[in-house]
Amino acid sequence: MNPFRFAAPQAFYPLAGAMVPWFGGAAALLAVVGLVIGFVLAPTDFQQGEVYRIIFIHVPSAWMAMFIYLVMAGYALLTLVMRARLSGMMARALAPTGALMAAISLWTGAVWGKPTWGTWWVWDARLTSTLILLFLYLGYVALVTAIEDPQRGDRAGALLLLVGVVNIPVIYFSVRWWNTLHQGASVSLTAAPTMAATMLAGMLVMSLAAWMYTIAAALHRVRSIILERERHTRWVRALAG
Amino acid sequence: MTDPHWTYIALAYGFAAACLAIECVLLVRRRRAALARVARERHLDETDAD
Repeated sequence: MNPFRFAAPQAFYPLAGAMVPWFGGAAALLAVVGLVIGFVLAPTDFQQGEVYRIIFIHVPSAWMAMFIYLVMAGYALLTLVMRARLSGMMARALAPTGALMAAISLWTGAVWGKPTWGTWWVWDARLTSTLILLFLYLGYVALVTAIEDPQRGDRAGALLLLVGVVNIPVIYFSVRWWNTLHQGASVSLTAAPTMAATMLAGMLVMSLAAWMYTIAAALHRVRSIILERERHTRWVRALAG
Repeated sequence: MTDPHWTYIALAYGFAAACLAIECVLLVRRRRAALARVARERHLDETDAD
C-alpha cells in the first residue's frame, strides 16, 4: 500500500473521519485520568499551596501552543516545496487550536501569576514571546482567510509561518537567555525532574490528552476544509447525496 | 471562608473548559455548514440541468 496516497484529499477524508472518534475518546479518557491524578492523588505544594494545580492545564497548553506551530511550519514547508494541497489544509486546520492553546496558556499563566507573583502580567521575555505567538496564530488565520484563492492563501500563510517559527526557540530559551520572572523549564531531558512523581505524572497525562484533543480537532476541521474546497468534485457531491 | 487559591484554579480551568467547548461547537457547526453548502450547490446544478 502506498502511504502517499493519503496525501490526496479524497483518500485522506475517510481516513480522518475514522480517526476522529479514537483520538477524541482518548483525549477525554486521558483528561479524566490526568485530572484525577492532578486533583486527587497529587499532594499540596509546600510552597505554593493548592494554586500550583493550575500547572496541569498551563504547561500542557503552553507546550501544545509551541508544538502546533512547529507542525504548521512543517506543513508550510511541504506547501512551498512539494505543493501538496493537503499540507495547506492541515496548517489551516491546526491554526485555531494552536491559537486556543496559546490563549489558554496565557490566561492560566495570568491567574497563576496573580497569587504567586502578585501580578497578572509582566512584560517578561517568556510571557511577551508567548503573546507574540498568539498574534502569529491570529495573523495567520486573518491572512489565509483574507485571500480568496485558497492555494495563494496557503502559500502566503506558509511564508508567514516560516518567518514566525523563529519565535519558538525564543519562547523556549527565553527563561535561560534573559533574567525573567517566569520559572525555568518544568521538565528537562537532561536533568532529573524537580517535582513530585505524581505531579509530573499528572502533567504528562494531561499533555497527552492535549495532544489527542489537538489531533481530533484538526482532523475534524480538515474534513470541513476538504468539503469546502472540493465541493465541485464528483466524490464530494456524492457524499452529500 | 473558601481558600482563594481555588478561585484562581476555577478561573483557569473554567476558561479552558469554555474555550474547548466553544471550539467543539464551532467544529460541528462548520462541518454542518460545509455539508449543507455541498448539498445546496448540487441541488442548484441539478435544477439548472433540468
